[in-house]
Amino acid sequence: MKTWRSVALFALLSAALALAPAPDASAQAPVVKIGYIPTDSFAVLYIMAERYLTPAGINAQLVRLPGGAEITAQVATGQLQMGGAGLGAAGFNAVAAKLPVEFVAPLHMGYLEDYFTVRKAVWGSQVKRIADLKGRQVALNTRGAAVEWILDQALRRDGLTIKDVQVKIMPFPDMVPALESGAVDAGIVSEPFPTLAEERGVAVRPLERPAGAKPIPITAAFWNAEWAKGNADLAQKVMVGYVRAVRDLAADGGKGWHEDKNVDIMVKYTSAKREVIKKARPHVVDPNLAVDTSTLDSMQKLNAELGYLKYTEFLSADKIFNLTYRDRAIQELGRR
Amino acid sequence: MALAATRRVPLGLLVPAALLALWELCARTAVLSPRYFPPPTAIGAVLVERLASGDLGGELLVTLTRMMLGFAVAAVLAVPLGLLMGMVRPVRDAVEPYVAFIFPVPKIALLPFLLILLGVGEPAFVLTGATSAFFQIVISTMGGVQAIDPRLLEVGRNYGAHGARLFRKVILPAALPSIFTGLRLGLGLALVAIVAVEFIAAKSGLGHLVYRHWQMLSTPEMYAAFALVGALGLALTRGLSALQDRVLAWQEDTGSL
Amino acid sequence: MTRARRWFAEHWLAVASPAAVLLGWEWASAAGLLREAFFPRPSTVLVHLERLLADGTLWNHASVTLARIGWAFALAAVLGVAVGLAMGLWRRLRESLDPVFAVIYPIPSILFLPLVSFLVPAGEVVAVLTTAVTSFFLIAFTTTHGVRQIEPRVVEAAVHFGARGVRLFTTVLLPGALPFIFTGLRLGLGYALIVVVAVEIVAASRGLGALLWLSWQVLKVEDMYATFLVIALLGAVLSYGLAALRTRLLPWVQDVAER
Repeated sequence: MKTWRSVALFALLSAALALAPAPDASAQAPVVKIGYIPTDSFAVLYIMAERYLTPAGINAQLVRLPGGAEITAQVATGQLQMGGAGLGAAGFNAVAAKLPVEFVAPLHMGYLEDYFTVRKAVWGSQVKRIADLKGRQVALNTRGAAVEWILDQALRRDGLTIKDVQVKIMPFPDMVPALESGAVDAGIVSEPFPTLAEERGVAVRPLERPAGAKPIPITAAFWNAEWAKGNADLAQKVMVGYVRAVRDLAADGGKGWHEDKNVDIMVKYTSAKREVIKKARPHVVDPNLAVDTSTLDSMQKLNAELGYLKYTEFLSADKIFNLTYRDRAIQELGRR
Repeated sequence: MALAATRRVPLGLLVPAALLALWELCARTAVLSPRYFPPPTAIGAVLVERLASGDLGGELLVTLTRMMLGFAVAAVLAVPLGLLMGMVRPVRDAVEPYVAFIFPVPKIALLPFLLILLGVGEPAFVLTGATSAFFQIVISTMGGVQAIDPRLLEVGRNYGAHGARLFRKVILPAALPSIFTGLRLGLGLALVAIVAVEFIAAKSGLGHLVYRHWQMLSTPEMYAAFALVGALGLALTRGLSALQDRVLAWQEDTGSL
Repeated sequence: MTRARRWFAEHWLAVASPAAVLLGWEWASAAGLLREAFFPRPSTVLVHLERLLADGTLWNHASVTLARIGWAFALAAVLGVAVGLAMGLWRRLRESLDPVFAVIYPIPSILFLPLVSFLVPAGEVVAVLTTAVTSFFLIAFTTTHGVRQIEPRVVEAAVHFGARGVRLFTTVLLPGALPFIFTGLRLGLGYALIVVVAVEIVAASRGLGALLWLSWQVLKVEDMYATFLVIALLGAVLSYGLAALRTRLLPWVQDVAER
């Protein structure tokens, strides 16, 4: 029986250790936990946390998560205060379910042509135009998000829809070897990975950006509405830091994306190589955080068609976005 | 699985060795694509290198820790519960519906719900492993108590043992083989569940390593991690069977089911 | 009627306990104690389940899962019993294959997915083969054990009475091993469900596992619960249904691990 007792004791201790909460070291500084996915489209969040929040005495903790659903769910439950994710079904459904999730600012925008990547080995031979992708495998990093909409939009240019291709879900980094090996013939790939693929001679981006094209809003930042209401000052500080970070990147007509001081931070969080990031096509952020809401209806329409939405009446932009914090921050900093 | 130990070791090693040799040959002559099936020597080299550098060891430790924690949580809760359910009818009636309902469910299906409750992180992973082990241990323990020959209990009572004494001297020892079997199976299930969770949702651990290297098509690393999981599983199975034989030496056949 | 009533009188807790939990959940969710968006009321879940049934989504995915299980189990059962019997009867074979099997068996099935995807072109076959692997080993092991645990005296007696070869097999060996074979089949079927769900979560766009994970990705929480319910039901049918079937059709066959 002695063996039993010691086994039980050990088990109990392990359980206690595992479940006991870690001691709170910095109980002083206010904590803001921010969820992110490791791509450089989230650069605004990295820069905001490192350059503007932490020095201001705010304990900004960046928490890496696999996808938008996880980030949205954790912001909704308050496990995280803030997060970024692709505009898509998870966010829309959360808002429709009256979860305390409010979108507060655009995170990045981009051009379809910068994302649409095709395997070099097939481009020009088996795949001469977009329509030739019919029935082929195309990579997406998640379902129900803006990238799916981008793929659908790209396909529609040549008479196809997303239902005409076979979608394979994989994280962005994995798309490069997948394009190389032929596991997929095309993908909606986010920087710096399409540049990496091009450098390796593995893929091409065959679409030309038409003159006067408008960038598409792809990701947005959101936070827990209850937290923001209960910590109005803190939320304001965070938003101001956010705007500053945006302006760092938007500086000089977008050259901020290739500035060393910013690239350093991007390398830290995405573990991509410096040279690749510096060569990558810049994302788009607006220094006044203008939000293009015209695509929201179209996005909801696609999501509804694919059966991702749990509501039927589309949400209007003002139900999804709460831009009062943005407005106040811009007021404080002045327009650019 | 307590399969008969054989004295004729050579044959038992011959077949795996022959298979590996065949694989090596096919990979080197490109009968098998070396990209998808790298020669075992290459895999072995990567395995040794990564173990030496500590990378693999680190991931192994992560998986092992999750498994042990999950198992510990499960065992600590499941054994007492199983005993209680076996001995006290109302408890069994109240709890059995849940056990019967959840037991056949693939515990991996619980993952999204745990992610909602606990967020993406260690607690969710460990708990998935714990639930896999928990139900097996409860069922085995309860079964062990229920299978006790009623005459044993009668004899015990006739000799003046009641309540706690009866439990310690008669019930617990009689149920011990089943409890142990349950624990053994539960640990195995915990490992399977943890590795599956790592494959799907974690950013560390042996299961995740296999997934990541699969996605990147760095196959030697993938097979190395795979081999390590196999070794871990084998060590556990054999080790626990041996332990069971030791601790319950009075039993003739410790059985596998 | 009295038998049912008697059962109920003795086991009322078994019904009351889950009923109480469900009612408590319904109330807590409606009252806001539980966040309804993440812990929907049981009644809401049922409504969503009904909707999924009505628009055919559920059947679309469930039929795919069932087909995969069916094929995988058939494969695992036929090969597993065959190999298991062979290993039980011929020592040389058993000694050669044992170490290989012992190493492969404890490996979590989902890890075979990459390997199978290398060997076989993408599609249903990958899912079916991966699902079949562990079940195959489980069934083979239990079958072998079933043959080997037959008391040698029984075999001796039969031989003494003139049974040889096929006759010996059908009259003594097979019936003697049957309880174990049956247990192995039952466990193998349950395992197939576990693996197929994991495979569907990782690599499929159709199937109950895929539906569960997709609902999670778009945060359709009620659908998550509804799908889970269906998976649980399927698990129950596969586990307990087979056991009940055995009691009806083959009552003389003991189930070795009754639970």
